[in-house]
Amino acid sequence: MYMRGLICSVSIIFTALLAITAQAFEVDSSKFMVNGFGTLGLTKGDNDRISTRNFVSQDGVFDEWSMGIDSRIGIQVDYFPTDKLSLSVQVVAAEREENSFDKSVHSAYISYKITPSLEIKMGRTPSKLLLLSEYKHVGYAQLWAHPSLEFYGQTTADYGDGVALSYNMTLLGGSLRTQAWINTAELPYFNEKIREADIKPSYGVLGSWENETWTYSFAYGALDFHDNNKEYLQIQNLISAFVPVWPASEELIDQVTLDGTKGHYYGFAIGYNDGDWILRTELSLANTDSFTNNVKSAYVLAGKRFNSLTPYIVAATIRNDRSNIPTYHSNPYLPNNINSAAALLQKGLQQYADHFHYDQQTLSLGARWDIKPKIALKAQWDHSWVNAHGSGLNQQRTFSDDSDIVNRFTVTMDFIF
Amino acid sequence: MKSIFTLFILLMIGALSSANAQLVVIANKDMNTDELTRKKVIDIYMGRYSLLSSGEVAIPLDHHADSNARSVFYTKLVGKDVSEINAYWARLLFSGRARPPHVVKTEKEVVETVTNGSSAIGYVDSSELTDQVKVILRVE
Repeated sequence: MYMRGLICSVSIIFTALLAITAQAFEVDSSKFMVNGFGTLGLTKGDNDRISTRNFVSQDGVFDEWSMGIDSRIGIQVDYFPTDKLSLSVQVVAAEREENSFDKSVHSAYISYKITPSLEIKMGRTPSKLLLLSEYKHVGYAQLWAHPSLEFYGQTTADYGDGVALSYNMTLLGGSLRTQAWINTAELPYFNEKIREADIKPSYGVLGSWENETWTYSFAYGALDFHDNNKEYLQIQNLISAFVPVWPASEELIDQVTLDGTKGHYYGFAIGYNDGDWILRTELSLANTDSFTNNVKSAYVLAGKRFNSLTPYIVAATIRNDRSNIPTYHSNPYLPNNINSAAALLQKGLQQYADHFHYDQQTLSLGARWDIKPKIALKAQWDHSWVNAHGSGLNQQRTFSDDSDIVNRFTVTMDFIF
Repeated sequence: MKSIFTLFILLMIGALSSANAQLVVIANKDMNTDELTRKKVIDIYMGRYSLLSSGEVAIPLDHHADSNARSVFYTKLVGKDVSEINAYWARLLFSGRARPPHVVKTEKEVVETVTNGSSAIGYVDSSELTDQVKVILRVE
């Protein structure tokens, strides 16, 4: 908490100082940069029971129009006092369920180049686990109109507060970038209201190699979860109370929360871009000791450039093992109300566990049109098959045992400045 | 009649010199590197690796986003148009991976900056060359 407050204060002071300095003096433009990005997006869902969204931290869109989930604007200030030292702050304004300046600061760090190849960053740096994690809010830098919910939906940690070390070198005709980091992060998720798990510590390594055409990337992250929202204690107490009459429920006590659990995340990506064809695939595997276990997700993207127009197609999938809550068998020696209550608890726990069951696929068709060197228009249609009980990435207004289909249409204008 | 003939000759010379014009990557005369491979120039201009074998760190200079020289340079160098290059740099800049090349306003300013900075490299039309800089790659 202290680190977060410190980063927030330092960013405010830094941004203010730079703004004042820039106005007061003629600043050396080679040492000072202000850049920005933004997306104006309009989204339409078509399902009144299951929402669609980009990340599980968002309040999703049902059968309605929304400008909230795909619109944002960001500004980045960089200052390079010497060739080795730099300071950077990035602030992103977007619709959030819990909004504050602290949540808006996506990066605020000091970077020092120990050698031309070795760099250390201290402070708040963008999350690095997946190929697009570091710039997932910069729509202009991406082909698609919005990130794949199946692949990027769960990774809601936009940044981490800590230290990151990176080393670059040339290898086999390309450049190899390796990174290691240790930090603390927040993992917000929205279901009826915003909740937040802390990841402290989170550490990981990343290796990526790229040349003019190919990109390969591998990342591993180890995460220690802490859930400050103690709502799960009520569920644990309720289960404990029923353990004497329903012994099989005891194993669920630790599974109902991420608190105190460890997670492991593996990500792998291959990309190809020869200027005409853009091909990319990413795969990930996430494991925790809670209901969110053994989550496998992947997508394949293919696009073809025709001058300024690039039509594309994306196929994405996510799946994990459904946590089957043990059946409660009525005990004839117990009063009926106890049996009914235990059966009700079993049903409620199954619905709760299904919040963390992911089983859906999406096919997306879209096009990007670069109307100006710094402005792109995009349109994308998504058709999602949400399998029975597998809608954990979405919000549900009512529970159903059936599969469902969600269509989504998105138009965006992405720009940089 | 004589003045028309002179004008014709001048136009021909202009056309020929324009046809011979070529983008070249230049460096300060004092730089220890006399030649760079195309691959090395790509690494430097795409923000991947700017350390030269001489131990010097190259500092690239770029032209304005909508300049013709920039468009031609990146198309010839990496086969990508200005929008793709902008999207590429947006990725690197906003993720904090690399700093884009410093933009100067004119080709003359590129030559001046390279002349005054021992680590700076830039690209200009070959007609802009002076004695104070050396060509380290011809972009074809």
